[in-house]
Amino acid sequence: MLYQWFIPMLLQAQDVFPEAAAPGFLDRLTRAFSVVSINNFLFLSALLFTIGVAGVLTRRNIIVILMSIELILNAANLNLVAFSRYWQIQGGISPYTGQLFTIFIIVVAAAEAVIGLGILIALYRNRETVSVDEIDILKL
Amino acid sequence: MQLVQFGAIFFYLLAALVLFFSVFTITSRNAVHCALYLISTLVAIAGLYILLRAEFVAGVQILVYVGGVLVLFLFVIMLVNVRDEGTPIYTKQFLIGTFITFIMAIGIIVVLIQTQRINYFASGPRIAVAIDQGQQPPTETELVKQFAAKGDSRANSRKLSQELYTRGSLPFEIASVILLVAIVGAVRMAREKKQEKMYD
Repeated sequence: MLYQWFIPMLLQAQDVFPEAAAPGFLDRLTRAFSVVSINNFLFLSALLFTIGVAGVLTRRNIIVILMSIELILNAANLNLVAFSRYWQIQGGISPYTGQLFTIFIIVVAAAEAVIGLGILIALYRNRETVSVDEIDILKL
Repeated sequence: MQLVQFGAIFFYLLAALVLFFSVFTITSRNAVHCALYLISTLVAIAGLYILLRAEFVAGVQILVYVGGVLVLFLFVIMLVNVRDEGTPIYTKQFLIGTFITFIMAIGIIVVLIQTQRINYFASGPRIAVAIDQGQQPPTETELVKQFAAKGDSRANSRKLSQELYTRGSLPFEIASVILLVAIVGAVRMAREKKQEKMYD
């Protein structure tokens, strides 16, 4: 798996310095890390999304769960902006649509946070708690 | 899309900051610390947007998220009496959640590595046109040298506003309706019983 996937992944960006042959492993490794392409942004976005999902699944405080949802939305935004830049370079038809989607996602995230926190205040006034474990009035 | 030299250095710096602060966001016990770490994460993501030449989106990120949403979070944390989660962290919920997240992360990363192995994202229309015409296809470095935007940060706002008012004019109106509904809903949700009696 190491030689099949990870090493070719690291050596993918060889065409940046095509004039020099790569003699050693360390040299090739530094050369691979000296270039950032779209795949690096996709990896970062995937990791950020995963961290957000972990926050939603493991925390009990509603406020922190809403913050984790903001993290997930930001991972999606990062993906969209990275693809927008990619299509600007590669000659897509309308590459700014990704940034347009990002603006709308930010609007919807703001509305969602406002509504969620309003519900949270109403809930706290009635139940005196913000822990999801104690909000089980719908449970039979 | 390639960043070299200082671009690459800033990418790795900002990526490390994003991951570091987001991990602290979901693991801090104190909710105020969570909000502050989330602010740091969002500012670092705005830096990544600037690296991707999306200056307007970076400004909106700072203004709306850090200036609006996170201040709202901090206000609510101060209004609501958030006590410390007294239960131990290694519960059944934590284990199951971590397991599901781990499986999902492995799935996403395997798919990404496969995509990178077959070099799926390396060929766009410009490369395809060159291949159709029988020419030597340009490398990504040459494309960057030829077509990357030179330092004019106003061009991004101009292009984005053209896009917003032509292709995205209907979603723009829908977004304003969503914001209106959010305002009305937040006021309706957050008022007290005394205020309800007074105004109804």
